[in-house]
Amino acid sequence: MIKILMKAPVVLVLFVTAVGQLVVADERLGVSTLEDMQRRQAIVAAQTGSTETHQPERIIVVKDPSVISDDQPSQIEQKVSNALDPVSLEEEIQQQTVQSSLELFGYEMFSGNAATFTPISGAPVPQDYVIGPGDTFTIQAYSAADVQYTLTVTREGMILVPEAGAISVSGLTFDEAKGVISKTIESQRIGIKTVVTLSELRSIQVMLVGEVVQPGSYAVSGFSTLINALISSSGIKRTGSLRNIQVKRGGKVIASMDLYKLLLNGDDSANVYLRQGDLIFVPPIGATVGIAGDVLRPAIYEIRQERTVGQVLRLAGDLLPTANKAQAQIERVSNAGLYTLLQADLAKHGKGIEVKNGDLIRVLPILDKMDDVVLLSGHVLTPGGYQWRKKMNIADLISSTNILRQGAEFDVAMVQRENRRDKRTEVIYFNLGEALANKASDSNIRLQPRDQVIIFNTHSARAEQLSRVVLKMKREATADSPVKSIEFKGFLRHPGVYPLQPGTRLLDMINNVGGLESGVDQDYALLARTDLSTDRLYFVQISLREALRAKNGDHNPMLQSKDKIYLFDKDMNRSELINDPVERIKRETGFGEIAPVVQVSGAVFHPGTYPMVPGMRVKDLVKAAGGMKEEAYGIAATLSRQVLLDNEFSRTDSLSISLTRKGHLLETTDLILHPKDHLVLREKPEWVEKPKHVTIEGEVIYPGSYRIDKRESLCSLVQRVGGFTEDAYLFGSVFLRESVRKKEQKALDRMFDQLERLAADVHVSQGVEKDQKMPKDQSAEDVFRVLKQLSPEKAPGRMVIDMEEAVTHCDEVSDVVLEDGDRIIVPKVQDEVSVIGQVYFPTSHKYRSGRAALDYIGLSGGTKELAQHEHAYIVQANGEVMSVRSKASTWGWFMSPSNVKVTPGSTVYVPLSVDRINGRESFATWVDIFYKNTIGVAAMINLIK
Amino acid sequence: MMSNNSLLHLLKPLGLALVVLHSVGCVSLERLVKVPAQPELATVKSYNTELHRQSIHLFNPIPLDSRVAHLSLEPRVKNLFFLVDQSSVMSGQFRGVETRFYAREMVRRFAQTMPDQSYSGALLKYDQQPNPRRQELLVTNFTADDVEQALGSPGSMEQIESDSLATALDKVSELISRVEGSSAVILITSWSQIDKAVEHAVMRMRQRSSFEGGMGIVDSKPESMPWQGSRSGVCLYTLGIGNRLSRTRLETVDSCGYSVAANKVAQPRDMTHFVQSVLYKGPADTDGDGIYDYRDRCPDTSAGRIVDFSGCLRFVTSEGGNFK
Repeated sequence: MIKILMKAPVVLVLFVTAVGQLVVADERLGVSTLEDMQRRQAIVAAQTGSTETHQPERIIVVKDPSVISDDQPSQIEQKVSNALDPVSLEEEIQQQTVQSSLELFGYEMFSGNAATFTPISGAPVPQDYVIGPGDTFTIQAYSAADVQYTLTVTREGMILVPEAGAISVSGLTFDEAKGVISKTIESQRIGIKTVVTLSELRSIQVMLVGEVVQPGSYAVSGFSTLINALISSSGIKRTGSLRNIQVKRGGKVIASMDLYKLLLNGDDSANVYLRQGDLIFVPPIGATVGIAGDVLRPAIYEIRQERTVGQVLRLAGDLLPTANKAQAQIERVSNAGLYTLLQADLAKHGKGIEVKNGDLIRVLPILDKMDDVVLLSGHVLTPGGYQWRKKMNIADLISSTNILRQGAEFDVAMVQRENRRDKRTEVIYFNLGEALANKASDSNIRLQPRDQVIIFNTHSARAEQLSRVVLKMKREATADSPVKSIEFKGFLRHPGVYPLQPGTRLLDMINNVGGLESGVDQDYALLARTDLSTDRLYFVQISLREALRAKNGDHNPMLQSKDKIYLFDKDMNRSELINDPVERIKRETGFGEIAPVVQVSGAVFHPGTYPMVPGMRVKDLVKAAGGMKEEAYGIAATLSRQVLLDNEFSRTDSLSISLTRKGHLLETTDLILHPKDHLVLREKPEWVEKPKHVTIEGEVIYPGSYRIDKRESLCSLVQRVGGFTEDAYLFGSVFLRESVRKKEQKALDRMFDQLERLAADVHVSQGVEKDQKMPKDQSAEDVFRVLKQLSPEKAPGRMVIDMEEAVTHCDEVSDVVLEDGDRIIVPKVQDEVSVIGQVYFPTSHKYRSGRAALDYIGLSGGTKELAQHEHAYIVQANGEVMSVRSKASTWGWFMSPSNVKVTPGSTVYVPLSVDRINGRESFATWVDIFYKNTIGVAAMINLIK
Repeated sequence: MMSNNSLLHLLKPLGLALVVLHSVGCVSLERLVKVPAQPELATVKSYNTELHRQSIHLFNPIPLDSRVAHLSLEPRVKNLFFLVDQSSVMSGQFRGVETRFYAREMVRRFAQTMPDQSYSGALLKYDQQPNPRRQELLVTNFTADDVEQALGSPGSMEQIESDSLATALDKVSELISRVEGSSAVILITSWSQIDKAVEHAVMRMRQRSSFEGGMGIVDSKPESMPWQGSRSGVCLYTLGIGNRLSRTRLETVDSCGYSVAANKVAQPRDMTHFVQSVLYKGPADTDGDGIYDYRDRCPDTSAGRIVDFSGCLRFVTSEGGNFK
């Protein structure tokens, strides 16, 4: 018995077959099966006569670790898994290569480690086993008394049975020997029954010579076959032939084995049992042919009777399905001693080509390219590949609208096509709705294999969807054939870069990118075209209105590569949009040229710089700028023109353009523009951009908001509001003006600013006798806190007017010209005088004509200790402020310098003496602050009432 | 300076040209002409002797003829009237030159620059001095040479005897109303002359040439004269002598003509530009494609087509095959 360790499962199976199913190895457990163990046990028990169970000998088939890990997917698996990817028309570059190395076929059979070569003891003896000297029989005889003999065949070929004599068994088969032994014993000893088994096999000597790894004489088990012997002797060298292994016995070749038959067909008819003295001869390898590429078993094969490529292919397990039958190559050493290459079409006569020793057959894979397929992509429910048929068209592919997703664009869809001739990507736009509705229409285009139909949707960015197509086309572009793409910018639903179908006109292309939006400027659109021969940019001014009128006219031109189309609406910033190309035009302008740009400013919708197109006139520029605004002065505009005298000396001419009149002496809007012209459209004189409103409230007949004309006066306003009511207190009228308020506010803010800085300065300065002026415990924080509290109210913006004078005289001296936002409040007659501030009892008093300021202060209990009565002042009802010490009252009715007459509705204010609070150096500023602040308050008092 | 000149006058007459050149160098007057270094370029022929005595200003005219032919300029006006102020207001000096002479010199330069062609119109001077000849003002045909001649003997110029420039302008208006076609009036005076009365006179002139005839004019004087009007149109150009700053008091929007300081157009190329703008509109464009004829390589483009800068069709492809 030969126990072997095997490397490849194939070989394992083969060998098990060869040995005669002696070992049924469970690969997973690595142990023999239960049935096998029981049988072996029985045999052992028969031999030894004991019934004790032997520990079963485990036959562990140790797998080579390298084999276990070698579970890489086979070539077929790889190819199938590639094919499982979604259908794609992308092509990858394929190298025309095959395997980088080839091995000789079949030799790995011997690479297994056959070190443990002990005979298998428990296997049944083959019936045709020839008994020879050395075999040991176990004979059990049982009758009256059981006896057991263990007898070895002598060198003479006999066994010496006690009480029966010598029995010649050599040369008999096991079966015959059994019969002879039993017969002889049973005939000589009456009544006895015998059981004959072979307990130990003899060893035989065989000789291995030729191209084997370790030639020499081997002692192998008597059961050994040719292959056992080869494997046990580490096998055949790679220089040895697998196809003509000879077994010589007694000088004659008794068997010639072709291992390929065994390996490829499982035919082991030549695997003879070896006998003592057999000689195994492995001749050198014969002719070989390598085969690589897409065949089942790429390897180097030894050829014997194979003569043609087809036969070699059969050795290699034939072609894989992915093999390119038409393009096999045979590399051959020619008679001249050079390598040559034969092209063989394996589908036709290629299989019949004769092979020669040393040939290498390369079977290249087919092109990894999907053909006869069309791809549907985009906004559909079932995107993917579809079978292409002859005469297939769009309606066949999209059999029903059900496969389109909600919101699919019916007006336009695209076919991306590979030009079969020049291998460039092309696109065809078509009307999907028409193609589906009318199968006979032009839109229902005929599909070609590998077409890709892209369905758009109405809402998402279309250019993005096509970016891959554009990118592909960009990659295919060369200097001779620039990228066939165009760009849309501006007022479109789906601006962006689109592939161009040659021969498409502007409007069709606009339709393809989502159509014209309503509100697009039909009079002005720009086509920025790159001259493909000079690569310079130029502009064409397009009138969409004209294009819609004449579909084949100049304004609906055929588009060409690299075109950029700018569409505008009323709102967008045109200059910004076309800034890039305009700048480019400027950059491209060389010496001796003037950049073809013109400028427009003033009362147009989109002032800015525009490209000058050939033949451009003033009216075209006005159109480009979106037209004149309502406030534009329609009679004349000014055109500044740069003139070159003697081509070098620049002058600026100013031309007056008549916008309405047509005189032959006048420059009209038909004037042809020159580069760098600048058109200025004026505004209408005295144009009222924003209507002006004033508000009049209080004691007037019709109070409310009034719209005023330019230079309308208070007097005329009062007439419009119907005059005053009986209760109106004209003297106390409050006139608030925004511009005045702003001015006041600014003055106030500035004053506070200065004060703040001053406070800080004072705080950090050393100062003379500073301690006396400022208490030590007063920190900067305190100062600023006080400042914060003092921050002024909003300045009221009151303007002191003499209402009575204004409305009665209505002349230039007394009247007031109104401004936008003026607010006039005519209060009711007031007969109180308020006294606030540092008095003991701040309150209001009934106005009496006899009383003056100091009287009212007296009525309020007089000034407090902290009061600064010499700084007391009066805010009169009309907003005028005067100190009680004022020597010149505007009224002139004062009694004494210190006792100013007050008017009804006025406020007397007695300020705080700042000196008493702290030692601030600049108390005057403080007073000023208080003063201003309280004026604000006092002025507002009237409003509140 | 004069002494320097008189001293040099004693030298050989051959040195005259050098004297002139020298004077150009040292006089700090405005250098209107760059005197070329090579004396043969500033030939004696181009020197006007009159100029030499009065001033060192040179004028090397750049005539318009070749330009007119090359650019095929379209004429703007048919009639040309010069009104040169020679009144006592002009008795002063401007940059070392007598103002009266300066005014005449401007006309001369204009005439030297203008194309060799006959214009109808008149070369008028305005002076408070009584006109010795007292003849009726006439519209004649004149050429550049005639102007030159008339300027050579100031006495032979047609004179408007008037007490104010405004009245003189009215008389020009009268003349204009008699001629056919549009007229250009070139008024050469001092800026200080332009007052309200002149402004009104200009307005009258403009209105008169833009309305149908037969309207009356209300004047402060009791006699109102019936005015003959014409719709031929007038362009008024004012050349003011006085300072560099141009005045626009006589210009209104929507009217033809402009005013400019005389010294701004005194140089040859400036004068050429000025004359061109007075007499010519601009290069002709017969096929109306917006490309001037002189650079139009396809001079008969049909209307409404888009052209390129050479005046040929921009989209040739649409003309071929596909254009139905």
